[in-house]
Amino acid sequence: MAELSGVQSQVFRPLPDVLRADAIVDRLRTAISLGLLRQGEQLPVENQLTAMFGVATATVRDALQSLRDQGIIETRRGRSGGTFIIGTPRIDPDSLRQRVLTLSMAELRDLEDEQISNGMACTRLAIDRADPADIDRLERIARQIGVANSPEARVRADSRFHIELAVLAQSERLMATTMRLLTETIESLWNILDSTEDAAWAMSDHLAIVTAIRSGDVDGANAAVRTHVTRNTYRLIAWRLAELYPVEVDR
Amino acid sequence: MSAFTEAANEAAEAIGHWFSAVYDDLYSLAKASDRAIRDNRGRRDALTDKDLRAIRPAAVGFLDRHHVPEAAGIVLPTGTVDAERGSVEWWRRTGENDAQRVVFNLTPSAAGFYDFQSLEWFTDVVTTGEPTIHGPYLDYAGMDQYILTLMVPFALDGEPVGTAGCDIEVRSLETTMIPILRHIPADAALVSKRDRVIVGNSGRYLVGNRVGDLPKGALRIDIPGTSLGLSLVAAEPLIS
Repeated sequence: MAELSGVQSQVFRPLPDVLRADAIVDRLRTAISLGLLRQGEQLPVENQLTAMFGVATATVRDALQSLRDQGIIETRRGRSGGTFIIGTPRIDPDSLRQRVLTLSMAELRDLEDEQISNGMACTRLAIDRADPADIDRLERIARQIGVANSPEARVRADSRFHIELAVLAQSERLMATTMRLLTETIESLWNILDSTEDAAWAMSDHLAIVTAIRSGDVDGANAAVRTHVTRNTYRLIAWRLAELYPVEVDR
Repeated sequence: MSAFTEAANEAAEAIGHWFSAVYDDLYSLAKASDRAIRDNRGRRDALTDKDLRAIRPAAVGFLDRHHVPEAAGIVLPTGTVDAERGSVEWWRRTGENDAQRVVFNLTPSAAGFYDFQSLEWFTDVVTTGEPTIHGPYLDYAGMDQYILTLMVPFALDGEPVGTAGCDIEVRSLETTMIPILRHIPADAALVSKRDRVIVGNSGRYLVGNRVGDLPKGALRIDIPGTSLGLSLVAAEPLIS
């Protein structure tokens, strides 16, 4: 067969076991960073994990050992034994920034497109399905990013808001998309936009989305989602281009 | 005149130079391919696929001289070599001075048939005889990548038959064009004839988006030195 390109090569991507173990480690680390799994929580037992991830027992063991070595989980013996989350992953800011540097403009635009589509779909369903109490709760969550004062806290607060949108949409599929998008973007975002000004912008964007949902304004919600996502992308691209193509001119 | 007019003009000039050089060499590729095919055919009447293979050195040479394009070659309509199928003699760079032939599915009845004779990058050049740039577009069933296709007319033995050209992956154009565009202290982009962003210097004008009406104070300049309909747009930064 001739050399594969683009879309084709994705089809035949190899799936070695060592990558699967890494993928499990990444998935759990991200879940903990996003605040989906909390300190003190117990992980499912080994054979449950094996079944859920659809991998060999040895692969799950490798992944858990790696998390143990990183001080993120601990396995206790005995009656109240099990594997527990005891630490938060240390975010390596350099590798998070590196991730953004390797994305092309086309890939960043694609990411923006999917975030906008997903955001619009979630808010559209939230308008149909959320009750006033749900929206009050969303508004409280929307404000959290404004008071978060570290990249880690901003990651948790921002994630929490977007996850809650999927919760109000009552859609498991949109939740899965939301989670995947957050995994790909959110940690890099808040390690690059490390300022209280950016956090204040994010909060006002979040509140604009809440206001539109509360008044059942689909067009307004669409516009608010678009503003929020494009602002983040604009800022990320400005940072990326300044890193990659420095120029003397003040922008 | 706005604060960024001069910088925008300089950038347009630099971009024009770059494209002119590539297109000049595409015309050379067309000539060299014509010669190679005729030499290989000799006195035989009909053309064969093997005659087309003879353009390899010309394509490899082009890809060696220009590092942004990733594949180059010639394209011929149905009836030139085969009565049932068109021909795409397309070589993709695999290393320094090396290339591999790209295989396309050109059998009309097959699933995944690459119906290039209905695509604009082919029909426009064949009908007008003018060079074109097509895209950015997702070349489904072709290269299966997000690319731009640059084409010039191809003549065999003086007879215009098809096209010669190259594909540029959108992301490879960034490294050449963004440094040029970054000298403009504004949100600026290179835009296609169809008003689609090819590459921009910020998150304002993102590849593939249509520019539409420009905001007040913005400007649009034709890219000089080519007849490709390319232009440069520049507007006050959205967020500073």
